[in-house]
Amino acid sequence: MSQMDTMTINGQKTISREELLALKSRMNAKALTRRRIRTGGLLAANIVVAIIILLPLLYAVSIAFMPSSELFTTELNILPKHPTLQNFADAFTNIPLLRFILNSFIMAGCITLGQIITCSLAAFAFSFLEFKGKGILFMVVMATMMVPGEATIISNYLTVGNLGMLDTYPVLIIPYLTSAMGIFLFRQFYMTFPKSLYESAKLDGCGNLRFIVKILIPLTKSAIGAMAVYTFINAWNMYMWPLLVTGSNDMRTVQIGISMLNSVDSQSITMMIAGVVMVIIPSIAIFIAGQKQLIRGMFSGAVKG
Amino acid sequence: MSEITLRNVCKEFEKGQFAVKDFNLDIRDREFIIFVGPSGCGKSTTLRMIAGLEDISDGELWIDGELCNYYEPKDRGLSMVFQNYALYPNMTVYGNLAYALKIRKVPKSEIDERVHKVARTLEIEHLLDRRPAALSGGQKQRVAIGSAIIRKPKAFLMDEPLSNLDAKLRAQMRIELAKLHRELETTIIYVTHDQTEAMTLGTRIVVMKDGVVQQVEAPIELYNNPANLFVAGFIGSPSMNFFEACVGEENGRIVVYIGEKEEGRKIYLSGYRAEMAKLRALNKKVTLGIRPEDIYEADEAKERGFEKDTVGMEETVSAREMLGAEVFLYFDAQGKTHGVRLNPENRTQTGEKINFYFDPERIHLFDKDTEENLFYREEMR
Amino acid sequence: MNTGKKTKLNVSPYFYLVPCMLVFAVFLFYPFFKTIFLSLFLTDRMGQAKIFVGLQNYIELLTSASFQNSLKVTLIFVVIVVVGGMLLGLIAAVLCNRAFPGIRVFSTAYALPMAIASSSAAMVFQIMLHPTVGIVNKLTGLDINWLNDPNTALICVAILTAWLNSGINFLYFSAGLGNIDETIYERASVDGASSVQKFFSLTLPGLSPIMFYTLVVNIIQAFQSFGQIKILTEGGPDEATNVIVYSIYRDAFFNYRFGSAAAQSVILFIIVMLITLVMFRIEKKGVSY
Repeated sequence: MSQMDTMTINGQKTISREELLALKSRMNAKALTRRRIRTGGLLAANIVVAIIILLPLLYAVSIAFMPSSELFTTELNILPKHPTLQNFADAFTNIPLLRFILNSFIMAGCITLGQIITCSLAAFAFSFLEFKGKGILFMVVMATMMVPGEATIISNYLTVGNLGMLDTYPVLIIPYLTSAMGIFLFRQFYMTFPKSLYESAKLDGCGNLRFIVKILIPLTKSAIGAMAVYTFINAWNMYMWPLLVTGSNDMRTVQIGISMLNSVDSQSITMMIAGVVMVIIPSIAIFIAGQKQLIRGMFSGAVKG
Repeated sequence: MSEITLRNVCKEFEKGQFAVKDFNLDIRDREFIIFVGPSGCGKSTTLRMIAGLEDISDGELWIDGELCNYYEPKDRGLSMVFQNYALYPNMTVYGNLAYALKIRKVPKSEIDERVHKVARTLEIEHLLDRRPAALSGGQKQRVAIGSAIIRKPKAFLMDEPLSNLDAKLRAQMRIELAKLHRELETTIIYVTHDQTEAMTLGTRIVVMKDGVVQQVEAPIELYNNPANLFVAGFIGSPSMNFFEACVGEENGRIVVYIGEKEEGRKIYLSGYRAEMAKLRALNKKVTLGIRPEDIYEADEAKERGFEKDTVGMEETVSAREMLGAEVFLYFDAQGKTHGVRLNPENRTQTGEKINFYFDPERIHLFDKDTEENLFYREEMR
Repeated sequence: MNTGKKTKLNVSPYFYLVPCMLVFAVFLFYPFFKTIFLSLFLTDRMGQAKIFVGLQNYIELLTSASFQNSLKVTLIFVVIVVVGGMLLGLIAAVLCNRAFPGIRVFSTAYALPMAIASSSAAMVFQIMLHPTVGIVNKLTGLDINWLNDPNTALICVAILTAWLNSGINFLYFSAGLGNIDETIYERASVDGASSVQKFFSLTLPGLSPIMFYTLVVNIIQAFQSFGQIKILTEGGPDEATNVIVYSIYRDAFFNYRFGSAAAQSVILFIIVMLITLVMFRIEKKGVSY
């Protein structure tokens, strides 16, 4: 049929093979342009929005490499003309940045680990065990999400002050060792498992703790991953509580320590930004590494419901 | 009035990889065309190319004399029913039915009238205020069909619309769809992988495999005169039995031997069949195909007068299924299980032996290499 | 089931709740009630409740011009942050919804602000908004002292906060878009809808459940913003950015008026609670399916 030289449609219009080919190539070109414009437009819009969103970060990186003298001109100086690492070195010598980073790692690490343990234990009880007051207790846990941190922070400060715990690691860590959101997230995950999973493990003589360690945790790796990334970043970025309870350089976290560079003494701006960039790097690195996990874990169960 | 013509339509995913290749079809007004084939054969892709949801890589799509390759879906004047119904979850049934009219700025009073008319036809008037989430599968199905027919399109495209329903509902909807087609007097293009749906609904069936059209024919022609081994095996349930066989000549008569010649299981051919077999397969190996209902026991073969032309195959029954109106016997041969449909008076039990006779007028021979049916007559329609 | 078995079954489940309940009890329930208790007292510099004054703290607050200003500032701040942050997240999510070259890079970029600390971001913004060396004045050619002008300071802080929140909003909206059945868009194209019509009749309603959730989370978070205000403006200039949380911090840790600060905390809690409850009430009526 394809070799046909002319074809008749509806018995009225007759188009020769050449005309048809010409028509097709014309429309083909048109469609291609239209598609290119569409993709190009989308890409352009994305680039514009991405630049706007990334502008503060890109600007910070650029300033961090800029010699202090270069910053103070009236001309537009987006990129450093003579990039230097001096700012980074200065930041390290000016404040004990390494110590701050270590403190933050210890704090964020302990909080993350602690939350995963307490939350999975609680979520296990809420989803697999039957006990009196289960419904009410769960409601109570969920209700804690409604209490803003500021409603408790003063009393908490007074409490730890009276206990003489100020300026220690435990005071940074212990108040954040559990989270209602984590319990909720894990429970949502556990609810997707059939109850028979638990019952058959029980029949095989598997104890509760063993069940959690050997069966639940391996099955909920993605939820744990999401939780870990999210908790770590939030703990790393915590500001108000560490600000209140730490006083010495030995205990300060990076977020507090870095603001010590913030003197707006004109000579130290580039050094301060260099410090900020170094502080941002770990949280961004963890975010990028765990982004997939985070999205998969956070949204497979938690948000849909 | 709607005529849809596809000329050498291709869908190329990557260079040289075709999902659909050289699809040619003339669809006449008011036809009920079925695209059928196993999953991944390109039938849905073809339908989506007609709808405008997939680009056509090559070839031409004509709708009512207009080249539509590059028309936006909304400009093609077609409507479509999707496999998962694709109801708008945030709108009521009324809103779902009215949507296509509303965005075409049809006056409110007319929309109202048409929605109620369609709802009445499909018996969903009492559901108009509900949201899709509150509907059963069958009800969703009706709403999906309703929102397709409300627009009076040039043609309906249906992509496996019944596959999410349970068996009983499916049978019921099948009958209603056939009725609807008569009432609407519109072209329907219908995709399914279920050959029963294809056989019962279609005025013509397009059988596809690996992106290539195998045969286009009315259901009964397709059943009796399959173009090749694939169509023969795909159409019909339970499916056709296949045997290794070879063609020879004995005393001037053309004979098909099941298995090797020495096994002595012979079927004598005559007339057109003999000529075709002699012409195309003499002394060659072939695949023999025969449907379960074309195999008989001795008495019936005698009654029908072909017992002299075929040597009975003595086989042990490996399984027996009594279905009331018919009985299926199964036997193993050449490493495969074959089925035979007999009338229910047959009392042969599992493990017993029985002689089977193949109706020589109903066997098909397929070329070993091309898998073509040697007896296929193209101009039979 | 006999009773002996029942009691035995009933004890062990609580062990699994002990760690989390202990933390909640000591650092959430107890301080929560203690805050309410403190708000009814005058306190000494150590935070000890000394003189019971009943609702005096509340009355003083609600009649003081400074606190009324805080309420107003907080409200404006929250509106800008929530609208800005959600809009930014929504735009990014819609832009990143259809596949195109480089989509992974862009989606990482859009989510990135969620990984940035408020204090770090504040310090970067401080330089960006710097009157002489900042890029904002240089790019726009303006000469505004953004953070020292009462007219602009609040907006700047709010925009920074909106930027910080846009990352997680992007993730929420992307997930929401992913949950919308792809085929309803195909059906709409066959039905004749244009892209704009599809956006308003399918995408937005389809996002409404997650939009609601995001809105609640954003409002609660916006009320709690602190670090950026502490670093950028310290409540100034002229109390223009003195949101309630900052006012609490200042009253408690500079003026040592723990009672008044506690009363402000309670008021903040009540505001957030009321907004959340009202929103849930609205959701029952408004959000489709």
